Amino acid sequence: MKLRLFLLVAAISVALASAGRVQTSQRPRYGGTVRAEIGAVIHSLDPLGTTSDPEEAAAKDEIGALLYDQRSADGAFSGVAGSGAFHIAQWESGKRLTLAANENYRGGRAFVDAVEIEMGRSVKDRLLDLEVGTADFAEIPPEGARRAGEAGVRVSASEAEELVALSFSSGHPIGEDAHAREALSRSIDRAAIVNFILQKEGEPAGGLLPQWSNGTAFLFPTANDAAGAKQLWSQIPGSPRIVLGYDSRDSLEQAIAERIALNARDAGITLSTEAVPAGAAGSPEPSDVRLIRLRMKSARPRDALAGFITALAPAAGLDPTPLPAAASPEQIFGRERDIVSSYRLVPVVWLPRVFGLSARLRDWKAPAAGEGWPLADVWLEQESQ
Amino acid sequence: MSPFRRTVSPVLLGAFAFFLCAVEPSGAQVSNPLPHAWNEAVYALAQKTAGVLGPGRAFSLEVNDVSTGAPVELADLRHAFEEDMLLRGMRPVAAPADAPIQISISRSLMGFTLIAEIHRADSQQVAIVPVAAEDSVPHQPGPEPGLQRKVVWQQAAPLLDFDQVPGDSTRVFWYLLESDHLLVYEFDGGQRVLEDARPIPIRNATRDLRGWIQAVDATHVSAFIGGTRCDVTWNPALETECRENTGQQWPMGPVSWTFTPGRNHFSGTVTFASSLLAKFPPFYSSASPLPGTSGQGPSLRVVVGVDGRAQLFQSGPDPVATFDGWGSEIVSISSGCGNGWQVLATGTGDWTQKDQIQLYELRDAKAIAIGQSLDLPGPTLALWPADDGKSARVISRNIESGLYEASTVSISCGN
Repeated sequence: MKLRLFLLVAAISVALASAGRVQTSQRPRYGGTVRAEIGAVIHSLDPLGTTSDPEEAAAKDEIGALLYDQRSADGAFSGVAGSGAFHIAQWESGKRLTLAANENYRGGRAFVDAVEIEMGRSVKDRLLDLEVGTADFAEIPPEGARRAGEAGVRVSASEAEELVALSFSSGHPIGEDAHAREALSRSIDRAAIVNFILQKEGEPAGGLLPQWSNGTAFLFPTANDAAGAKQLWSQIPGSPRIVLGYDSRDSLEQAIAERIALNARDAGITLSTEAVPAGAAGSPEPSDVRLIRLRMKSARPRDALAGFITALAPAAGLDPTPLPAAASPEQIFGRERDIVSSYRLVPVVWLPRVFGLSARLRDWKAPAAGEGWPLADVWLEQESQ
Repeated sequence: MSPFRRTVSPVLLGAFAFFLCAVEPSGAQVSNPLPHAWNEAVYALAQKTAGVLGPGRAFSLEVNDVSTGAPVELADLRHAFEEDMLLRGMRPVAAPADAPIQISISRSLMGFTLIAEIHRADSQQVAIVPVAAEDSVPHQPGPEPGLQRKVVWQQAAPLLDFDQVPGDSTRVFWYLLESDHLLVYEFDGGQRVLEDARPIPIRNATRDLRGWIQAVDATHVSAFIGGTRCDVTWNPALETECRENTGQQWPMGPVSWTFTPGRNHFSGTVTFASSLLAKFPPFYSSASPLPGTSGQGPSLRVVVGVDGRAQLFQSGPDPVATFDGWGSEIVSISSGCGNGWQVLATGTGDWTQKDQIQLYELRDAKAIAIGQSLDLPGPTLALWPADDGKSARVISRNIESGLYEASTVSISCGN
């Protein structure tokens, strides 16, 4: 991936920026405050409180993982806030949060003393602060990784772990037509989405598990087949029209939806896109097919696939039967193939999580699927005196 | 549950190899060059494939590698699969066949995987077999002069320190210190005859637990783990007496260092045998000239502080020199080469990176790098002087395999 090149550029920038500064040793150093910036605005840290904003929910989950030592079987945090690696030192709802290291954490005290999290920072502001060194840590959108690297930001990408897919809505006539679903799937130029929209930071998705997880993704084709799509579409009587919905707040979803519409038109498919406003969850699905983003709950193929099935089965009409706890590789692949070949869920691309980091943040390892921000494991290089 | 049922996967190599019989591949093994785990996977794949095809079928075969560099030849894998299928009554033929089979070497979270796509007239079936991970044989450095590393132990569980203590002419004792256990292995004539393990109560858990084994004799050792001290006797049952390390003193040759509980460093206080105290900045490691080092006074000391700086002190509170490019672990070593004060130092970087160990000679408040540095396949987690003072014990983590490696680093005087 081209990100490697930009990581190199970023590394060189870091090396130049740190010229003349004392190199610190390998062993972790205690102390310092990590300055983190997030786009989400968190209104409550109550683990039982819910939010319709997926960005807020995701950020809240990340912070919960730092505050709580344990989760219950359903994934909810349990125990006392502060039983985790950090406790809340200061909280200004919707603005900023300061976490302090829990001196008695059973996993060992975090190396840093504190984490200051500033909320509601736009992508542009986050990148700028990373560039000028006033932030140590921020998530950045995958499509922004290239620009961040070019700007000299130290960039770290996880394995591809978030699936962007089309989910056909149950009960919509066009969604019940297998030819229509397959035609749309075949029409999509996934490589172009990766190359142009994601700036090569991602992978075309043909299956429901990335290659690194189950090793079987290569068995699912990802090449577009406009001719095949056209032929399938021609077999559908009447002049059906597909409405593709996407989250109105998500610019990446919008760009991908528009690209899919373009591909569909090339295959003779009549498809229009529709921005679905926030809060529409729970109300009847207005779109025939919806662009969705699904993050793997675990790196383990069985658990990741089970998570997808649980999340999607009701809306997409998938078989909700749980996978056996000790499912064999063939069982996992078979279930994945059944879902993909039904075209009720159409994989489009895989996205990594991308992080911008300051040069002084050490021992950083991008979290694996299902893991949270590893802020208890990082340490800060001491500034020169 | 026996502690030995955990994921301890000892591989005895290097210095320990003389206890083991060298086993060369037999003629029969040479005829099939696939590693054992791959042979097993091919066998399982053939079994599954034959089950799908049914008896007496002809098949054509295509083999490819979609992983990033499988460590086997495709022709060898193909040959092994075809031989196995022949034994099961299947006939390999050129395409077209009853059943075209495509075998792909893929890679997943669990490692390499063999995937067979079995095409039949009415369907396509897939058989998947993971290739069991084998203990990787670490690279053994050649006989080039300079630093030499011998990997003597590998395991999946985190390792803090190890020590090999000879008993008599045939017996040797291995002590391994993990974050929550102390393990002992007794070998007699190269055969493991006894083993035992005892838990260690953790006080002041830290994310970077420091541990060190000090051997008194073959059957008595002391283990220092963070703020805990355990005195261990092997007679041959393993008895441990663990307690809070009063005064947090870690005896280091003629001096002792004061550990800071709950952290990963020492306070900076060094206590001499005369009970005199010297105060340095808080440090991760420290080194001073070994007895008999010519031209170097006993008051010299290098400390690698928690600020990352390696500073040389000489009879005063202020450093007389600062050395750049040194990592957090240093140890004095008596190589027998030259007559100066020599120090091994790890490199900079963090624990996500491979490390290097470099030998320095300290003269006139200058550190002169001697010879080539030694590359390690991952970060150095601990560097302690060996009991003989002529080598160092190293604990590192292999980034590729994820295994913790115990090794000894010594110096040859070739050049």
